[in-house]
Amino acid sequence: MVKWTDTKIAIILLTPLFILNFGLSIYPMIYSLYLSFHDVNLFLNKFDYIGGLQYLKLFSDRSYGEATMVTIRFVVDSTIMVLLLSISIALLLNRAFVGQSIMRVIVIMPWALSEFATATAGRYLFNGSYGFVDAILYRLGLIEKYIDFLGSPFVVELLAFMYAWHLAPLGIFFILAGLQTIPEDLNKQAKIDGASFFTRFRVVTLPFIRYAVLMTGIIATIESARTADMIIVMTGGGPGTSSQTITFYIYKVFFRGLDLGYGAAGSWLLMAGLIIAITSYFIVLSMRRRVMQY
Amino acid sequence: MARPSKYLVYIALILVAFYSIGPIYYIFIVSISWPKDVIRIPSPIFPTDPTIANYLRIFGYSAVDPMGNPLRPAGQWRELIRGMINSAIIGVPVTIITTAVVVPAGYVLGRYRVKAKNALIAILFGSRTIPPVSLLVPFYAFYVMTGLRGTYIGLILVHLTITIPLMTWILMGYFATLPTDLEKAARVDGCGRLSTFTKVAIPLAMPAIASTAILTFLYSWNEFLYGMLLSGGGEVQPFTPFLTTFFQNITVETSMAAAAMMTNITPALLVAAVLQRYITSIKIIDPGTVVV
Repeated sequence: MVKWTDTKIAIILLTPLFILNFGLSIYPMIYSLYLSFHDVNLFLNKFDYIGGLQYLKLFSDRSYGEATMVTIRFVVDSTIMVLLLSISIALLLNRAFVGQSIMRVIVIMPWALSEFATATAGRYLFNGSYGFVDAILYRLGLIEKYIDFLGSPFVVELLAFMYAWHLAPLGIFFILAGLQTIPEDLNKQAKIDGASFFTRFRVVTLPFIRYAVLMTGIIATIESARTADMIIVMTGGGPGTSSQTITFYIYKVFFRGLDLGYGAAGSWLLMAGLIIAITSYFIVLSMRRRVMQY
Repeated sequence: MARPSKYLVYIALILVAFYSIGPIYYIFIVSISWPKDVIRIPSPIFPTDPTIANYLRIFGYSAVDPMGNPLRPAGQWRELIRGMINSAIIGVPVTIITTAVVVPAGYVLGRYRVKAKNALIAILFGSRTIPPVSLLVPFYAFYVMTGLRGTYIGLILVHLTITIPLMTWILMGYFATLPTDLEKAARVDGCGRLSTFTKVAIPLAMPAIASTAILTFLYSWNEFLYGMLLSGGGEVQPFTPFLTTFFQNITVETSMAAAAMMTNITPALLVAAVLQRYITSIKIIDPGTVVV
């Protein structure tokens, strides 16, 4: 009879994951790297090796450069918004109040929505013909006629706001879990000592949620760099190309011209940026020990 | 020192509640308004004259507006229902395959001390960070060459790229925090490793496994980008990507689009309400329970 050692069982139980995850994510990415060194046209049956030409083309592509700037702006905006929203809402939910469980259900709703639904909700909020924000401002008498917010120069911020709306619940509950580990006495003592709200936040609260805040920030960074759905559905990259991120640009290149080699090269350049983000993520993780010991 | 009064807290809570569900509330309001009211300025923000006409029309029924004029069904209502059926045809196998794969994998990664575990977890996390558009390119090339484009199998496979890494991540964290006492007792009583897993760990984790399965279905239901570009339009297109086509149809008025949107997000809202306790206790974003 076969002896079931730990390792054997582990290998058997992990095999399906390994096959599917490797076959469905890792292998396609390697194949995409291969594509990025070729000039591909599936319908003309063209598949020529052209070396690093696609990458050279990317570096001289003004649109890709602009898309990089928009991506950075979008990622920074949404990360800041996610952090501000999740810290402040978590602090609020950490207080004792009636209706806590209902409030938790309400707060998690935006997270359950798809990015598609989030972006559609964004259109319903900000568009210039039946937008919610316009309807409210008009009723309050603050505007004379409807404003098309999606055509304004702040469209990237609006996108970031909607994305933060969708992502913040993750951060809220993660930070809330950190807040609940703070010993009651610590806060009371600080209050008795006459510490102000901000001093208490910095000295008492922050050390307990530092790790959760860091993690929330990193996840927000990675997720907002990944999304294409939000931009496709909410603004379509517009007005003009002012909300065109790298992911959207790749989608456009792909969709319009089916230029697979160029699309692959563009996404590998984006991946390079993300790999830097992931590396810093793991550096933070290894720092966790120190944070926890502290 | 000035303590923020109780009232201030409740005002803040009301604001947060409004912020969280305001956008959803507005889509709902539009979906129960008459088409004529929506395009009037200012558009309705309260349910002044609620109607279910829009919901009837997107499912192929006619309605009559308050002035007595007939309202015809939405142009593509058959395709809409088709899309919902497609989402189920794709979502159910995705859920079954994902669960079958991630339960054992999550158990091993969460419980065992395996060599190269951190490398495996890094690969897993790496595949979670791949932008969907990056996978789109190789998948498209592969699907065109093999004829998988526009088939259910093609869409099922590509949905698995989203669900498997994420759900392994979640269950891995769950198994790592589950108390080990019962499993140890089973081992002492002569239970093998494999039967400890199937007879002790799985029953213990059943609520979490069920919740993860529901979340998997939700992720498949919510998926948009692949469904739009790899379904080749028409026939096999799932519900969510179909809605972009539906919204562009000129016979579909804004209020009908809102009704379709509400139909699309209702499952998500139900899942959030029912699984709130589970979702907030799992560590979707915290790998620290397993790594380090």
